[in-house]
Amino acid sequence: MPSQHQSVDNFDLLHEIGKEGTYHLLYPPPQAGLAILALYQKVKSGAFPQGRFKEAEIYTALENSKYLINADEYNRLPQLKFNSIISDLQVYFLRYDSDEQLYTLKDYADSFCKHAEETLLANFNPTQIEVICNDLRIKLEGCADQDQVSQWIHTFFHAFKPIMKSQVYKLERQIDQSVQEIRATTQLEDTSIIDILKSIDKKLDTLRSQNDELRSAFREMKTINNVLEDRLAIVSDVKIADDISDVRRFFPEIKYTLNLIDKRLDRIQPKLRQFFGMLNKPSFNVKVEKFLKFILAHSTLQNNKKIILPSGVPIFRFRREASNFTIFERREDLFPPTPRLRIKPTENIAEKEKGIASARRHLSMYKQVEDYIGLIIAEATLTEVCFSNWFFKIIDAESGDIELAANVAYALIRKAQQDKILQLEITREKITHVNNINLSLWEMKINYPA
Amino acid sequence: MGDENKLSGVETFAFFEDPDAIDLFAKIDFQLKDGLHFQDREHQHQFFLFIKKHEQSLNLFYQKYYGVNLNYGGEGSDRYYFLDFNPSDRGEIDGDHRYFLKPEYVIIGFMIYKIIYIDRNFDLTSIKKLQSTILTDYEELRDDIYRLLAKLRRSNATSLATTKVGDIVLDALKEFKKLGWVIMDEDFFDVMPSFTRLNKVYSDYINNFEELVKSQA
Repeated sequence: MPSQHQSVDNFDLLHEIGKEGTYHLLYPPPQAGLAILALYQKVKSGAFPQGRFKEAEIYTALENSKYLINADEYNRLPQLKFNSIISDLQVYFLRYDSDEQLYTLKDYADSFCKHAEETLLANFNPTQIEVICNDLRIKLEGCADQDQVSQWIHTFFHAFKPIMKSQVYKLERQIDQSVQEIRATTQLEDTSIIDILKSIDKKLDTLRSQNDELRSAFREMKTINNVLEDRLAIVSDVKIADDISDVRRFFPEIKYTLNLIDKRLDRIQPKLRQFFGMLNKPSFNVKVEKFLKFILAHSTLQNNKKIILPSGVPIFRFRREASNFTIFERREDLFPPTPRLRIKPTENIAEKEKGIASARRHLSMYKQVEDYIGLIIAEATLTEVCFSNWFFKIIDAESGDIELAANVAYALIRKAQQDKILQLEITREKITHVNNINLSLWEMKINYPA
Repeated sequence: MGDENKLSGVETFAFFEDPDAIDLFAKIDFQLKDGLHFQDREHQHQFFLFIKKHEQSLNLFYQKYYGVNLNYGGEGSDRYYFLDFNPSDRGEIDGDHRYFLKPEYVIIGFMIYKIIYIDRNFDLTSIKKLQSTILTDYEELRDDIYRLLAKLRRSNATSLATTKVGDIVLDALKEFKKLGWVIMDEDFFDVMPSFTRLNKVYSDYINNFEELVKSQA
């Protein structure tokens, strides 16, 4: 089993089908596809003994397909070309017995046609589902070990899954179809509308009861789900456990879809019935449309903000502002406050010293900054000061540390904003330190006229 | 029902005697006054039944104490109840507490009515789908929709205009939800029977709209 899983996991359907020609061999062009369907129908009706037929039958089927498709899709081919179509079909659809010179349909052709047939036939058969579910349950209950459970999943459950799904999707499709039919009646103006809508209403009734039937058949699945849950206890293989949870996920999915169908019917049908009432007064609806056009065309905007309906059309009251109640609440969680654990920080002497030293350093720097500012301004009262001289002097005094010099510069700029006498002109002239080319600043010219 | 003697009788307020009143009446009372419409749909079923059962005595109660009528509309399974704040100004619920339906919501209301009931989109339940239907499916109304709702002079479908109109549609639905005209849940919405109340209120104007057109000139 594990090696089989591996190969399925590695299989890339799109990649495979993309290989040259494969797609067209699996999904033949309309003409060939229709011919296969015609042959299938004949085989089914017993027209060919033992389901075997001659090549001439294929020719007839290919020729007849022109009656079924649009003229422009049909290729008017000489019979010689039929040969290549038939040889393509031999890959997946037709089996040729060269001794007898007779053809039969391959399995793929059979499922291909059956699938189309069932989809279109919409053969609704919840009783069949119920029988299958019942059978599935009995088989599952007979599984004694994990391998048997795995076999049950791969053989029986996987065969059942598409059948159940197709039944549910059939219902969905029919609802879609009804919705489209209802919409299409807007194009009709004669009295037949009411009959059409009534027949749709009846159809929706049928769909609803079919949905109920399906649901009751589905109940058996609930039991299956429970049995699977029990069986999980005897499963040690991770892969099988995963398979079981896949199976178990399928049930809620189907249930969800069945519920959705119910809900859709619940919404569509009342409106349809409401609509019957309106059909008695078709002119009213015409007037509603005209009225809507009228209010749209004649409403105006006041100050490009508020919409004003055309004069004579009022607005109405439908509700009052919601009441506001003052609620006086004594919140239990606030009174009394719940005691909280107090965390006492422990003192780290070394860290404390470090903190104090850093604070002192900052304080002394402020003092130094103030001293320098005092000196600079004193000089500026006498003559224009080029700040770069001071800047580099401070850096040199601090053995290359730029922090104090930068703080002096910032403090000076700040002061210039507050002190109206202090004139500070920042030029774009870049002055570089004589010994350190990495240090430079834009020159600031400072005057302090006394 | 206007008989004063009846009003004074204790049996007039029969609904108080109903054991279900303990659970239901306060909720119904608040919601009716807040403008909610009650119909026989799943989420309102028990409230609807209570109102239907005590229709007369409830009406007398609201007439006598609030000066408003408990009215109904719709037929058969589409019947719905509401307090009518419009017919008289005698109501005891003072003016400040009454709320007028904004013109933009009136417009959106009629658009929704047209889309769902006249054009029969019975299965339209996505708010996003409704917004895009209003913006794209009605070429002949589009210019005015943009002019009034997006308040833009040009009627080109810019993303700004689309967002503005979409927002108003959503706001209108929220307002209709307060009235019980629609139910909403994330992107889902569905119109309730009481949605047709909009038509009913405007029916005089709808029926005589030709007169209105003339009066505009």
